[in-house]
Amino acid sequence: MTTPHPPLDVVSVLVAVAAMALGPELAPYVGAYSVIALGAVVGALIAVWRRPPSSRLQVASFASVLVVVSVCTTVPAADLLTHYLSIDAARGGQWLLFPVALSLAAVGHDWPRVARWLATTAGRALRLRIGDPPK
Amino acid sequence: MNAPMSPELVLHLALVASGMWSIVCRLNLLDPSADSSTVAWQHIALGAALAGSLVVPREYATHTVLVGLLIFQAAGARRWRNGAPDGVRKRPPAASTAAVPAALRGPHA
Repeated sequence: MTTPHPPLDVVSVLVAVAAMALGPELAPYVGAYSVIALGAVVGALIAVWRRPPSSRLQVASFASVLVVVSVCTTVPAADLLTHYLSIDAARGGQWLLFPVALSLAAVGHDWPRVARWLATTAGRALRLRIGDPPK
Repeated sequence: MNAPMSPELVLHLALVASGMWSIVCRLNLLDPSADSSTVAWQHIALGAALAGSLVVPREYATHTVLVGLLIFQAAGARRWRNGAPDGVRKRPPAASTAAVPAALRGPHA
């Protein structure tokens, strides 16, 4: 008889580590948000590199805002993705947290452009759905 | 994943914050469209390792930073294939004093 494999994604591993250090109540939150924060920090570094040079204060506030916004929006965004990609959230949705946090932060100063593109695409999709031809 | 605040943890946090700040300042000055992507990815990998050292269990924090350092070195290996990169190479050794004319050596030579 074989024992079932424990989940091996990085979030589950960090949850297990957090459970040892902080107890089982806090572990799921600390483990997941550690991964999200790490992804957000790496994404913010990429975003800082991609943007035009500016003063140190501006860069520090830009990177801090990116990390905070990314940490706050990653879970809803990952939930949306698991829903649309039909991933079983209970079994495999957690691995999305790192790439989603990284991507949200790495977009950086291009967010207004991405938002415009999303709005245009959503508008087109809506028009197609209600039968109004796109202009 | 570190236990409650201890002097070691405070020192770790301060060192990671200093390292991250220097990485952010350097990335801010690198041109993303130029031929600097290797240098940028080196710094991003090092930053990820520094941030990761706060997340992993304390006994693996050093290993995490060392892995980041190794990635930094490995990513820059191509620049060092033919010796030190341009601009940081040592100057060739000066010619021996015997080759310098006596008039240029001065009275005490």
